[in-house]
Order: sequence, then structure tokens, then C-alpha cells
Amino acid sequence: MYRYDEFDRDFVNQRIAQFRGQVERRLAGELTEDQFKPLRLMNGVYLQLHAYMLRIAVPYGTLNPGQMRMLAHIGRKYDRGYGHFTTRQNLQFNWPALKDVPDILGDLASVEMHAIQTSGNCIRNVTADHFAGAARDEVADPRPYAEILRQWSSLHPEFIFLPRKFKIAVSGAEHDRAATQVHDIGLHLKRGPDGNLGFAVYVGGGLGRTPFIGHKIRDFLPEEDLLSYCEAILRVYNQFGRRDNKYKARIKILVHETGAEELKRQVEEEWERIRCGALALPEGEIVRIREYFAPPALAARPAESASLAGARAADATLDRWVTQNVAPHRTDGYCLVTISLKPIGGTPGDATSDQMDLVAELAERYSQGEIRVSHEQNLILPHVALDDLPALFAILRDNGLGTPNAGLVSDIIACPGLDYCALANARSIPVAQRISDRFGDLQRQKDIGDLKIKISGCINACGHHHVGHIGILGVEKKGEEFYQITLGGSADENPSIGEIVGPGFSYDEVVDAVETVVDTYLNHRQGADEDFLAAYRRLGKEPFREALYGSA
Amino acid sequence: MFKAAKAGPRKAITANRLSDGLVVFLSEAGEWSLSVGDAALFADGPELEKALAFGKEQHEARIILDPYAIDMEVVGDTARPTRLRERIRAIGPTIAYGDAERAKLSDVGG
Repeated sequence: MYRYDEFDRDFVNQRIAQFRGQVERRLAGELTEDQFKPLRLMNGVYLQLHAYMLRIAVPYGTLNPGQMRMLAHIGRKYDRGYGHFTTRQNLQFNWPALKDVPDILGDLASVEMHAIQTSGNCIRNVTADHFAGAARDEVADPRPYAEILRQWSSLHPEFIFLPRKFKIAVSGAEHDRAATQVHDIGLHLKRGPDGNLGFAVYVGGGLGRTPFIGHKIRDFLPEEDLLSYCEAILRVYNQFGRRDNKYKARIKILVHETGAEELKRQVEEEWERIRCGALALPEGEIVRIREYFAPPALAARPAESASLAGARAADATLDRWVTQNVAPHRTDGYCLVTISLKPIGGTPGDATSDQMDLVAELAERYSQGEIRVSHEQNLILPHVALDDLPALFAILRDNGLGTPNAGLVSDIIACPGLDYCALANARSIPVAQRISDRFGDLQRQKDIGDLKIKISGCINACGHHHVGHIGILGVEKKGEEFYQITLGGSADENPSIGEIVGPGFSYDEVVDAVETVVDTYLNHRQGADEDFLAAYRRLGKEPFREALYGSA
Repeated sequence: MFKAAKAGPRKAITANRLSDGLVVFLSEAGEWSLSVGDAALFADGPELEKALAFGKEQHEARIILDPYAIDMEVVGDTARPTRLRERIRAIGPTIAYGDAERAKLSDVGG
């Protein structure tokens, strides 16, 4: 994976020293909050409901064991012994004291991590498919390109004060696991007619209070043009994106108001001016960066594991977990393992420091020292030998990490909601927990099949509710929490924005409402092969509306 | 330092502490307490205005951040914030977290 170069190291250390001075001046009373706030936000420090919050970048969701151990250490030493993995593949600590943040940043720098550009109106941490570099269906590893984008976008002087924040996601497989089409720029790595690599480019996707699916403005962009094309998009956005209204400032609004065709024309006009300049990516540079992500040397193994087959036959729990949480690897005899951070009744995305240490150790022992964070708030071990699955599962299960629910109804995305977030209007986590408990029976979950529930505690949609098969949006109505249900959303390669099914439900009612939706699906599906989304797309919302509210 | 109201609709002054961001409440003694139970309760009027002015001074003195008044309700002998958001600020997340959550889930086999 990527290693800092000297520039990164020097710069990050300078920034820590600078921020240390700023924190000292703030605590000594020399800086007001108005003066300090933009400075702390540039270093990932928010003030939330109960305390400061530190958001740490995990570039394209890739961590090594040393980094994971450092996160565990920080959680233990400076926080309350846990951290929260987010829908942007980042990690948040909920309780750091301001005075400790410079030391935390120093510890992070020692493992080549930081919190720069995790806030503010700049290009945020670039996200990628969490199965990158290992998935069987992958065309090519998207991470080298995410890394090239990271280098280009880090402290890019022209793009530090954009109209609003800007998020880029890269996927390298036909099946989109990175939700690319609901990002400001979505890049879908593919091969062109001549076999060369390039990207389909989507612009103007996004969630928040005004959700949009991105528009494809290029079907195939050669890889050497990646930076010049992105720069052209950012320039058009920087020039024409609205700055008069925060809620209309994202590029999705510009695309919507300008029209995708016209925006494309503007982008391509700008691109023609700059494409042959300094931003043209030399092949040698792509190869050099790609070498950082060279696949590990995996010993040859048979495609099938007789020992695993025997163990699965003898242990139904193991069998269930392998069926649900293990995905095909491009190398025979290996697989990708999803470590669920969604124990039944637990907080989605939370991991204790002990669990982080354990995952680091398991990555070293079983996964070539590689760990990924998924935007669905789980962890991935990307290179596990099939023969090792029984031993790995036994350890995970004993430590609250073996829930066999990847992709099922209890694998819920939830934002921190009103339990932590200063912006939230309603709680998300306890709603997720109650749904998880309601559908806790694993056989029932398996019978229901693939079903993505996503919960946001406010209109900002950090919990991606618009693209949940079942989306739940918490609002405040007359001082009470209410939850609006949307159906039929999806963030994969056939994306859609969920439709509001009817009036909202109270905190007490919402779990029953979700169960009604699920039961309606079960009653109407054409068979177990027709998953919730397919059934919804066939049926429309009417049968669900009728089940929830009765006939009109 | 402040004279608390004993009846009628009442308010408390809350803020976040500068050094660690934790939620604090203004006490009758003019101190900032982590416990909502220590909060002085004010009726609308001069005493509340005086408390808010004190909060503003404390903000400017870089001790606390962004003080504001919240509605309180008295249930039995205990006062608590009226709005859920403020109740959660006062008592912390409504869910277990970290090792406490792990222990709770382990008890039920999670």
C-alpha cells in the first residue's frame, strides 16, 4: 500500500506543529472560537453534542496493522476505548480533549495518518471499493488512481476554498461497491475497446437534502487524463458553483441547474486547454504508484478447501458465516472476509480498542497484513486462505466480530444521530439496534435475503438513507422524533433514490413499520431469488403503502 | 451568586467546556458543572439575563463555548431538560458504547 514520501512527512509534521501552537493559543485565551473554528476544522476537529470529535482520514479505506493498532492506542489513551468507522471509510473518535489533539495527531503521523481535509470545503478523503485489489470481479485495482487523486487533491491551492465539500469515489469492478454514482465525482474503472484502462466519469451525484444520481459525462476517459479531467471539473465547479446559499452549493446543484450536457461542454472546453499540460499522467508514474499496491505473493492453493468443507459440514454456525460474510478472491484458494461491525443489537460501525488490536493481529496472521474499511461500516480482511476460515471465525466469534449478517437486514448503516451529532434531529443508533434485535434471528434474516437498511438522523443524510432499499430519515416534529421511510433506493451500478412511502412514524412505531415493509415484501415476492429491491422495482410502492397505512 | 427560581417555567444555562468540549451547566455559585443536577434554574427575567450575560463573559474569557438557555422541567424532585436533544446532552448517549456495550452484548450472546 501507499507510503508517505518526504513531502508528505514534512508537511504533516509542520501542520501538527502549527496546530499545536494554535491549540495552545486557543487554550491560553489568545484566539476566539470564531478565529479558531476554521483552524480546528482544517485538522478534522469538530465540536459535537457532548465533546470534540476527531475525524481521521483512512485513504480509500486501506489500513495496515500498525495503523489499526495506533487507532486502538489512541482510543484507549485519549478517548473512551472505542472508535466509530464511518460511511466515508474514515474513523471518528467521539471524546478527545482539545488539549490532547496535537499529541493524537503526532501519534497518527508516526503511522503515516492524519486528519487533514476530513472537514471543510475542500476535496475530502477519496474513497474506493473495499474489495479493491482482491475481488474476483475486479477489472483493475482502483486504489492506485485513488492515491494519485489523493496526492493531487491534498492541499491543492486552487481547491482549498471550494463552494462546498467535494467527494470522489473510485470503483474498479462491474459491481459498484463504492456508491460512485452518488458522489460529486464517481469514477468507474474499465477497459476500453483497445484493452487500455480508463474511466467512466459521473458528475453531480450526491445525497444530503437534495439527492441526485450522478450524470455520466464521459463513457471512457483514458487513465493518463485522470487528473486533467478532474481538474477541469473542479475548475468549472469552483467558478460557477453557488456560494450564495450553502444548501445549493454542491456540484450536484450546479449540474442540475446548468444541465449535464452544458456542464460537460464547459468541462471539456476547460479540459482541452489543460489536458496536455503538467497534469497528463506519465505511464511510468502510474506504474510506480501501482507498485505500492502490488498484490501480496500468495502461495498456490487448490481452488477448493477440503478442510473447510469438512468444518462447514460439522458446524452450521461456521457454514452460515462463510455463506454470508465471505466473498470470492481473484486467487484460487483465497477469499475476502467481511468482519461485521453490526453485532445484533449493537452500534453500527463501532469497534473497541481491543477489537481493533485483534483485527490488526488477525490481519497479520491471516490476511497478508491488510485491512479495509467499507463504507457500509464493516472491516474487511482481503486475502484469507480458505483453509484458515474455521480458525479465523472461531476467534472473531469469541470477540463479538463474527456476526454472519453481511448484506442482510441487520447489516444497517446508521449515522451517529442525536446520540452524538450536533446537527441531528433524531436518534439513529437505537433505531438500528431495535431493528437489528427485531430481526435478530439469523435464519429469519437469511430467509429475507439481501436487504440494505440505511438510517440518517437528519436531512444531511450521512446514513445514506436515500439509497437504502429501506431508508429511514429521522426528523423532529413538535419536539418528538419522527421517522420517514423511503423505499427502493440503491447505490450500486443501477442506482436509484428511494421514494417516500407516506407519513412518518414515531420512535415507538418505526420498527413495526419496517417489519410491515419486510413482511409485505415476503408476501409478494416471486420467490427467494427475487430480493427486496427487485420486488420493489416490480411492485412499486403501492402494496407497501397499503400495508403501512391501509387503503385510501 | 445567582438567585434560583423555585416555581413556574424555568430555564438553565448550558455550554461546552473549552478544554475538552464536555457539556456543562451553570450552578447557583456561578461555576460550571458537568452534572445537570447542579444547574441553577431561572425564571424568565432579570436573573436569567444576568446569568446569560455571565455566560457570555465566560465565553469571552475562553472558559466555556457558546452558552445558551434551555427549557427545564421538574419531574418529582429532579429537574431535567425539556427537549430530547438537551436531555441527551445532559446525560450522554442513550446507548451503551465501548467496552460497556461489548459487555452488554456478550451477556446476550452477541
